[in-house]
Amino acid sequence: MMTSYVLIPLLPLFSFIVVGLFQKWMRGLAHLVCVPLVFASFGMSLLAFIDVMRGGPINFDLYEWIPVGDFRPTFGIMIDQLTASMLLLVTLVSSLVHLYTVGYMHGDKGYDRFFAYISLFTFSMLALVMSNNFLQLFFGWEMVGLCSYLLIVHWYERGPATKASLKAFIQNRVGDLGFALGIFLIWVTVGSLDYGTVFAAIGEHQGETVSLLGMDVSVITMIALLLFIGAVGKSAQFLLHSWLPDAMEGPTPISALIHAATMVTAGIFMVSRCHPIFNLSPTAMTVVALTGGFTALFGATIALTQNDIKKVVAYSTMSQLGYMVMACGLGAYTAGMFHLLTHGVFKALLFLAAGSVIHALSAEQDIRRMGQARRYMPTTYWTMLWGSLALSGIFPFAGFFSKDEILWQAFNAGLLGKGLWLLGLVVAFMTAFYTFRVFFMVFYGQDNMDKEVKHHAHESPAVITIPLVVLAVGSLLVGWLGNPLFGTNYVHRFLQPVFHSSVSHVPEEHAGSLPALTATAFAGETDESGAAHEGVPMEGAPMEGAPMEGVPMEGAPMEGAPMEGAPAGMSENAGVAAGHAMAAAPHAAGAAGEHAGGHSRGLEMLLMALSLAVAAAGIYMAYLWYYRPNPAPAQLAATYQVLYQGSLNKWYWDELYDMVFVRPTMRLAHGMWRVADEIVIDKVLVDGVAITTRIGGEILKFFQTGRVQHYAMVMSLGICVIFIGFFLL
Amino acid sequence: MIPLSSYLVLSAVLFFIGVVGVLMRRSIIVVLLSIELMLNAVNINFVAFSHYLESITGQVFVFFTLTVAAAEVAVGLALLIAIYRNRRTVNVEELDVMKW
Repeated sequence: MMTSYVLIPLLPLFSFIVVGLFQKWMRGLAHLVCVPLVFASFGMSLLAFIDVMRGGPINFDLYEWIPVGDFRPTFGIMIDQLTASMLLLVTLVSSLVHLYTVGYMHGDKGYDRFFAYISLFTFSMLALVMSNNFLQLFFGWEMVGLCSYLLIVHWYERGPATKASLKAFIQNRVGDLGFALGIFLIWVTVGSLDYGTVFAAIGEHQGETVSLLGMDVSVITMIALLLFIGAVGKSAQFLLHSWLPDAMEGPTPISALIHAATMVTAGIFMVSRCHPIFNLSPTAMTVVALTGGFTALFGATIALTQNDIKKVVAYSTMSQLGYMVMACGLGAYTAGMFHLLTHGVFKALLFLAAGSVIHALSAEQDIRRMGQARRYMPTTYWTMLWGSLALSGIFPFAGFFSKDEILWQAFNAGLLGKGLWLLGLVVAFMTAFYTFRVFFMVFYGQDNMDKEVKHHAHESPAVITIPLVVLAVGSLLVGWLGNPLFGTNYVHRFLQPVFHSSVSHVPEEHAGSLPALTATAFAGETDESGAAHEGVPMEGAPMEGAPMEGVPMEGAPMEGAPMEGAPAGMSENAGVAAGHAMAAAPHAAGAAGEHAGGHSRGLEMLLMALSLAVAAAGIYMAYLWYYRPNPAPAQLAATYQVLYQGSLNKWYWDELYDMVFVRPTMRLAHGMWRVADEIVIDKVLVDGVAITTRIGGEILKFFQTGRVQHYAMVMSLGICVIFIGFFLL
Repeated sequence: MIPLSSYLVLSAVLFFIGVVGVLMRRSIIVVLLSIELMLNAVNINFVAFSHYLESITGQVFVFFTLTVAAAEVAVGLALLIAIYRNRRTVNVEELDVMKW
């Protein structure tokens, strides 16, 4: 049984080794090795998923890895509910992308290399999600970064691709440095890197501080923020975001697999995985929520005006990742993970469909030179429509459920959450608008294709359309798993054990602060009552050591009991229950906040209708402006020149980074070359040694006369000197 | 009874005459002779100490030294003749081929 779990990551690794080593002899047949193996990996993930669903988490160590003194990291495998759902997503999307690649990269001279690298990527991503300790997580983290670099630069003879790959690599290094420091700090603080040990012990270190530039910072906040820097880099959050759109220089299957569905979600996965740490630090949580919210807005505003089909999808990915991070920051990890899963499906679909369009239109990526494409490619048209509807959050599609889950959790999460909810609503409008802007410009609108391009326009082959259809069906169905309206919310029920039971006891002095975010969820509508609960001195309460598992706070009442009851009754209940939960475990409060969703179904329905209306409005606006040629957008752009230019130029962050980081670095490097390298090393050290030797020789050669008597003289004098020295000194 | 120091002084004087001869004289033959002089200065030391310490070892050593010196002179003179045949000179200052 254990073997089958180990094989999940090893099969892709095997195909990487085979294809990588024997690349020269593959001659475009690499898919015969890679595709079946990755599908087998998917099948085993499915089995593992079922095992976890039936029997709970699996966790075992394979072997001890680089033991040094007390530091004995292991290589292990842990498949809990969180990992199991990631496994399904990663292997499913990877399988479909493998299949798609067969058609998309057909005839490319790097075909086999490409397959080798996506197999390696699949292995790395699986190692990342299946790890049971931080070091292995870091290993996977770095490996996916490397694979991302290798795949972006697949067409290495293209200048922009090499630049984009370097940018991605370097920006990721910045994030990874923070991540590594966070792991170091965990090791220093807890003395272990094993998830279980760390999460069990981290609560004891509350109140401890570390010195940062002379200031004392709570060690847990420090760890959480450092880890989050890693997530910022990997998930392209604001400040380390600009690599993701540039990464679109890579082939489209990569954009779908790495830069939409899997690698970029590693940050969200990691934050969710480390929720016992994040939950203990309200400061870090606020930072996470704000970063996520801002990134969502930031990405959406840029996506509005981009003209490259892949860039639009890339910015929308950034924006959607912002949603997920925001959800994590509000403690709604389940909602974040749910959106991660649905987004993985429909965003992969959108990218692959966009790739299909690009493929059909002879590598044209500019949506201004497309139009009326539905005539040539009906399958792509339909699947892309489904994907766009899902991304916009239209009712029966996946994005609707997951996005509304996040918005609903935000709405329930105090004042900050309310603000973020409003922001999320604005972003939802923009999302619907730009998604359908692209859709209409590509498939309807004016026919702006070149004659030559149009002549070759064709529907893509079956290996491309089959993955599209599978993903389209997926993006219709996945959302229903987390449907809050009818029946059970399977996603919640499945993920619940992960987010509820990893930390059993938490000192109470901290309890007051985090629930500030979620208190309103319990206490009803008003902020004052939330504040009141917060203010109640909990220290005296006898639940300090109360075993959290024993209190049926999280499991039973939240899930089993009918929450549909009157909000008033709930408030009363919450007054008592929330007090317990907050005092004993803030994280439980956060988690319970997610489940409080049931208590005012009417309100939830209302908000759903609202966000649906907002999305529909966005689509309608796109329809008005782009379904037929319409001068309105151009006029608007001319009127608000500043905003338009800002959005079109990505708010000039690239230019800013260029000015602040790139140019000074280049200048420094140039200076180092001129001074340190050319003068100090070349002239002083290398040439200096030669000159000294030569001059030394020139001087010493006068002492070598070739006359025996001179040598004898020197010897005699030497003996004299030794004697004199011996007797006198 | 002549004291030990007299022998040592004689030996030192002879030795330095030998050293100066080696360093100063131009003729290679005289240089060789000067080396013999230095060897014999050492021999005087051996004998003097042998007598002084009433040990026969020093005198035995002298015989060895004489033997070796005889052999060395034979080889040295042979070389000298070879050099002379090749270079037509016995002037040390002209024999500077050690510097190439």
